[in-house]
Amino acid sequence: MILTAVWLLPALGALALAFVPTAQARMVAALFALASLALTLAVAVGFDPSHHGYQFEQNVSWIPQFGVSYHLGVDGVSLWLLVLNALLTVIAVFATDRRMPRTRGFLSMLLLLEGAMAGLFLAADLLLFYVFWEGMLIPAYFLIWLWAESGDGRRAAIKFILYTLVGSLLALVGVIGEYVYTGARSFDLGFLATHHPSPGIQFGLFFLLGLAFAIKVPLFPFHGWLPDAYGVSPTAFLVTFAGVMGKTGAYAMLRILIPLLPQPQAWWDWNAVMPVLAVLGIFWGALMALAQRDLKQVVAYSSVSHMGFIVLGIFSLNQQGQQGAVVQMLNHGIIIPALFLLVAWVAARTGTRDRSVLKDLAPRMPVLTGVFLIVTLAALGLPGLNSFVGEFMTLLGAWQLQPWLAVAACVGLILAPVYMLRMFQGVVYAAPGEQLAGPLHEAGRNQVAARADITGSELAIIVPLVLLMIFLGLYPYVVTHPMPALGIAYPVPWR
Amino acid sequence: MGTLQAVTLAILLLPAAGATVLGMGAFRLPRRAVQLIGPGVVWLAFLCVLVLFADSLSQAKAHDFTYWTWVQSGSFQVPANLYVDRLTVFMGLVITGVGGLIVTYAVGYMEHETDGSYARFFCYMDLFILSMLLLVLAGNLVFLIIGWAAVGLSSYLLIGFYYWRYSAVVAARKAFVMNVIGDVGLILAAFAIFASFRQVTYSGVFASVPHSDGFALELIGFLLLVGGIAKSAQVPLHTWLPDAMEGPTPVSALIHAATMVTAGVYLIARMHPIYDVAVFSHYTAAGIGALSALLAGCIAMVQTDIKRVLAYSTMSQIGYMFLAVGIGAYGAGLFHLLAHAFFKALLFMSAGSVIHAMHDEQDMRKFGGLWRDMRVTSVCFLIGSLSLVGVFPFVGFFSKELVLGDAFSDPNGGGFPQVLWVIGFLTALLTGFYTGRMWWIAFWRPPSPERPVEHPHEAPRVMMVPVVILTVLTCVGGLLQINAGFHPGWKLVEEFLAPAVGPLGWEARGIEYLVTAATFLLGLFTFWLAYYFYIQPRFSVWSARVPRLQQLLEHKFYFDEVYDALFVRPLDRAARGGDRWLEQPVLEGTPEEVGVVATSSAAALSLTENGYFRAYMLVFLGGALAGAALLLAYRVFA
Amino acid sequence: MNGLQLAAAATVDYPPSQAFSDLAQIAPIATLAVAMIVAVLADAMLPFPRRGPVVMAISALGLVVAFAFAFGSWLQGGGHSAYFGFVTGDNFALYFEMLFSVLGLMTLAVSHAYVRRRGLYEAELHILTLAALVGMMALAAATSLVTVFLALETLSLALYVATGYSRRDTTSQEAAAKYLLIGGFASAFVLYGMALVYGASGSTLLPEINKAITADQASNPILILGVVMLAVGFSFKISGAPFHQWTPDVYQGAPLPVTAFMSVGTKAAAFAMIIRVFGSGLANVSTEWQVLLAFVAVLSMVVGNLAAIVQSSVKRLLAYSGIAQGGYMLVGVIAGGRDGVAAVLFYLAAYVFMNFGAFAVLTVLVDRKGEHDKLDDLTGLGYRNQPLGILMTVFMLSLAGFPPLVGFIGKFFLFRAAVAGGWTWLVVIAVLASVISVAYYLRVVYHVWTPSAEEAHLRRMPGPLVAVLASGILALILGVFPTLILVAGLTGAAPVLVAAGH
Repeated sequence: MILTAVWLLPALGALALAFVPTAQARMVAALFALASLALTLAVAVGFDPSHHGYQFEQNVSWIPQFGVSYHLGVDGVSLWLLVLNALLTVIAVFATDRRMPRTRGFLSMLLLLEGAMAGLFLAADLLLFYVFWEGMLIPAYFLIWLWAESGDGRRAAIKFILYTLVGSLLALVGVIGEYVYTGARSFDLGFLATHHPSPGIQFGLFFLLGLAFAIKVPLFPFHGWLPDAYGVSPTAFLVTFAGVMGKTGAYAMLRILIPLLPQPQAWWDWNAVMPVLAVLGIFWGALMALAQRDLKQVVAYSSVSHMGFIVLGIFSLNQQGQQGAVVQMLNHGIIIPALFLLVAWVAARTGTRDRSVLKDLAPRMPVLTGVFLIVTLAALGLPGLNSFVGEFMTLLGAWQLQPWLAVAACVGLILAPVYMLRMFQGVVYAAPGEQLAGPLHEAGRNQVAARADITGSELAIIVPLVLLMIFLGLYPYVVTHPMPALGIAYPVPWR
Repeated sequence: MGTLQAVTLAILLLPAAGATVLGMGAFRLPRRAVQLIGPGVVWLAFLCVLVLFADSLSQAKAHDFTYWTWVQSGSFQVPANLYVDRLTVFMGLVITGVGGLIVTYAVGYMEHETDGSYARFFCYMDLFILSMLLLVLAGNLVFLIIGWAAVGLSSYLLIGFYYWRYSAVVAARKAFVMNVIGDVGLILAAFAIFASFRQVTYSGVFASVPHSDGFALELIGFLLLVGGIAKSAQVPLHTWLPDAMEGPTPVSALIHAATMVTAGVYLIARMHPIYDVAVFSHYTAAGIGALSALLAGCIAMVQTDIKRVLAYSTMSQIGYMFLAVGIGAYGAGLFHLLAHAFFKALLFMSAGSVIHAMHDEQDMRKFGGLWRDMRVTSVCFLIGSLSLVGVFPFVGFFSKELVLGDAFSDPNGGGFPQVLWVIGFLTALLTGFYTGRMWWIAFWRPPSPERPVEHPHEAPRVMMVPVVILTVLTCVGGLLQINAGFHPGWKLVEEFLAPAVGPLGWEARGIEYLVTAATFLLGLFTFWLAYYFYIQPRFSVWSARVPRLQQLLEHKFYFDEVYDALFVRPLDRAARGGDRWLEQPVLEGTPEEVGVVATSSAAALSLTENGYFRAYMLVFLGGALAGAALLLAYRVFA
Repeated sequence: MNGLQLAAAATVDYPPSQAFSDLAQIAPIATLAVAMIVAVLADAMLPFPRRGPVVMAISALGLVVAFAFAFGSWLQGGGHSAYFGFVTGDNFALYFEMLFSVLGLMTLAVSHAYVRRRGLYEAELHILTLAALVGMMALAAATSLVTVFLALETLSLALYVATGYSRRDTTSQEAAAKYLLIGGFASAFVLYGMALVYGASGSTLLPEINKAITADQASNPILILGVVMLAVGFSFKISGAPFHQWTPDVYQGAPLPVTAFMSVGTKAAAFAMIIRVFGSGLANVSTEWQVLLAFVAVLSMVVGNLAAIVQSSVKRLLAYSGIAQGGYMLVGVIAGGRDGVAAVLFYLAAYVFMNFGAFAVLTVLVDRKGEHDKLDDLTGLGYRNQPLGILMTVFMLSLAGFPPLVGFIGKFFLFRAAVAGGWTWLVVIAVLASVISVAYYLRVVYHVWTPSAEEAHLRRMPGPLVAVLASGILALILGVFPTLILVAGLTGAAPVLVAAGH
């Protein structure tokens, strides 16, 4: 029951917003977001790491004629993504710009999105999963299109939704195929995980399902929609869009492809192709991040590169890699929103996001600089901060699969500091050719400095993320501890 | 948690707390508080290390303190543990001791900075100390990597301290990226270790080294070496080091002398169970060390920036250390590390005093006449220089002779160590020469016309005291280990470290008397020779005769240029090209192209929808026939 | 003995009890027929101003009663064949009779308001609707080629007239003319097809035909030609490409209520006919008509969806979308079997609500100047009247097949049946085509939610609003609880299969 509440509550919040005056919209939205966060945390607290199989399970027959059931459950993998989803939604609500038009609609769409994604993480039935998977697109479409902060929102939104749908609808065929060809006559994930079709069929299904997930991640070379979509999206939405929605694809790979299609081999072995694509993505994302001048694009491409690590970990097909992937999903979900928020704040103060124009912010906004520094370091995977844990574990997994994969992926590790530091330093430090005698505020600009730095409320929004970056860097055991409590049978047993 | 365990943790927590307080309160803290906290926490940490030192004197066995489980994923189980043996204590003493002196020195050196920058500086310094301590205290590879990277980070912060100078910003980034390359080496090494031992704690790994195959160990050895040479600025990953001189002088002292660049030496010593088996990677380390020593020595001869000269001499001395630990003479290598910490910190800080007095002028050709104006500093600098050259009775003499002596007398390796010894010997001569050059030009020569300051004054006491202390240490440090040359002499350092890194594998043959004498005398000779090159031009400047060679040296053997051509520029080109030719048109363009095609075909389709009845009829009939034909075809072919 | 002899025998002895039970089987149809006649008389006698309301009331009453009859018989487990096998009251027929009754009621609500606004005569429109409904129901109930054709013509003729109902505007006239001509042409195809099938099988009763035609007859050219012609004629009725071209013109020309009514009604009736004739009559030559229908299905899905992208009139856009939707449903028909037929029945119900709802929204925009069916007329609808905007969005998303709306579940059932039946390639084409469809459905949504300059508030029209609201709620409810109709669909599918001897 509680799980139903977890995804239904935000959805109801979205509905409720239609009836409250715009003035109270933010408050009401915040209340619902916080409430669902509280619910999720209650689930996390009540979670029993030693118990195997789904927990807080709810299983009601939905379409008995075709073996579809309304089956919800939480396990070691979905738990953290749930928490992330709820947390980031709270942050997104608070980060919503007060000057944004039609705030009510915006907030209700945010909540709707949270509900859909929560349901997706909870679904233990393939068709139910698909329902949430598709449902997720609608609020995303509106958020990109109606509240685009810059550029052609409609174009980006249409591109995003059609590109995604090509995959998703083929995935519907895959879902049905899974049902038909396993002969299971059931959509229950746990059941399907124990009834595998022949490798040839798996090969086909892997393509149909995998394409959708790869596009959503996005996995190289299917990231074409991402730069546009991220480019136009308002920051508050990006918090959950980049923070959580990207993870849904990776989660789907881990939750569906891995257990349901363990050996997709016909003309070739998909399990051998995916890691290669992942490594290419790591490299390509980093390379493209080097080429960008728009800060938002740099961050967008950096996330393409980071998602590569996640997919690499998942398809390393061993426990370290896959758990590392989950850890990395969580970390990336903490870091990317912070980066987008910082970029937005910088842009709001300077009126530009162009790396080649920005400079010398450090003396004027020391606090922002400090926060920006930590986030940058986390993003480039500095050992001791959270991102390192995930990258280390995923690469460890890759090494055990194929050492050269890990070695190749390390190129990404070396390029990350190049583009991240170039962005950070370019924004806050001296520009090329500058050899000033001292910090700018000695040149009598400290009035500017006094005004320009980030406000307390902004700080309050980002500090939780920063603290998480440090904490999870020092004590990732918290995250990995409950993971072995899996809902469904895995080809690689997690102990 | 026992007392020792708590103390060990405190060693890390103290600088951590200092850094945090200074970082958060950068703008509110009064200067006094900053001056108190900054060095204070380091000295407190030093006291804690002394506690461990006392304990380690009483007994030789190592402690392995586990605090919490860092991460657990199946068989990959990493505890947050600290490993304390005599090597750790030794390094800890150097870091906190010499580090403490340097931080204290900085109190005076940085006083001209604004409040914000002042606090920021000490925040970074404490962070640096913390990172180094974590590096040496780590009880498993993951924490080693964390410390390793944290050191890189803090050096990045310190090098880029003057962020309003673009050159500093770039130098910082360069250092960071180079260090990351090293980190990656370590990370891969960790993977290889886990793959072959299924664990990453020192105690576990070293226990299972004996029964594991050679190739894996060699691979591990090489990967670790990558990390080592990147951090210790050895060839070919050394190019960040001279640029690092962009940072304030205490930074240079800290980065070079005391701690950061010696991390590689520590790493090899720490991993000696692996290197003792993995012979090839072991000797590779030695070879790289010797090579770096020689190259750096050559480059140092043409540098004009006093700090850069010291930087290259550092690289050269680290080369000696690598040479020593590379052939298995860990005691010698670490002793040289200690000695070098003393006299190089001394050199950097007295150079700092000079630069301070010269209002941040670093070109030594513009100094001169300092012997008259800054007597104390000059004396200290001279002592440091002589120690660097390896002149009796300064500590440098004993340590360097020990390294060369051990190399000379190493019976293993089929003569390779002797080759290394030759290189080391030549380097020693170069050392004498460029040190002499530096000394004569900067201090002895009459004041240069463009000297920025007419009457330079000595540094304030707070800067002077640490310098003097280091001078004293440089003079008496040799007494720790007087067996260089005098074989029946005691060797406290080696004996102290023996339980941690094992005793020297062979006995000195005894004829190093001659070698020692030769090295020391010739070194002194070249030092004195420089006088005739630069003060009394009895010989015209050598470089004038061989311009090619000079060019080669001034371009530092073209390492930067080559890297630029091989990596930096191609990468940028690839990025821009990829974005222009593949990303935009294909990966992002394709979906839009598809959309365009669909729309246009739709437009074409709607042309058939022209509203004419006859047209519809035609299509209708055509469709009917087509259907029939299809069915026919189907029945024929299927 | 075959059907004709049986009929001949019957003329001799036809006891009242038999007559009564036969009548009971077609009670809903009969009720509507009576209601229609009464309405005609009322229209002729009553003074002008009272005609409209009264006729409307009569029609509504008739529909309610018809629904009641159908539902009652459904609860008793469905009826059986009647009138010597010419019609039947089985669950399949009942399912459609109920569906058509509901559709009729919604149509009444919409047309009432529409004619008021356009200043047209009301009564005749209702009467025509009733006539068409009688035809549709009869078509669903017909189990003999004769009755099938009779019903088909009844429904068609009524619609021809209704299409040209707004006499004053020429597009309406043109549409009517086109519809009539091409419709006649198609009817000819059907009739020829029937004749040939009769020639091949020697009977007009579907069960007899099914018995007579065995798989080995599949090589009989007469039969095959008959099947081809039937397929063509039927495809025309569901406006399947390439026999679809009349659809956009007619939909656009016809008055909105008529368009709404026939866009779903005709389709439903035609599918009932196809399933009945092909599924239960010619089941043994299924391979042949499957090929033909697959051909039509693929073309419909591709052509319909592509052409819809560039339309500027919502009516035309929905016409093309209807063509594509017909293609999806054909996939279900091709898949066949209990699940396939049930899926089609389910989707038809879903389609009634989604599509009719969308048209009903358009009728709200109608004013004395005429219809406003351009996309630009929708601009800002969501802000001028939020509930209406939301509902329009729901209909579009449902047509596009987004969960949790009924359109998704319907597609899921169709595709599921097809994949299970081994038609995966057809499903792949279907999903790729529906990706295109999303583009234009979202285009409508885009206009609805684009802030517009003028904030002219809409005059409220209770009739259409009720229809819209009902459809919207159903689209959502049935999406979340599909079993409500799915069960009915499965029950309704059963008799056809029994007849086919599955």
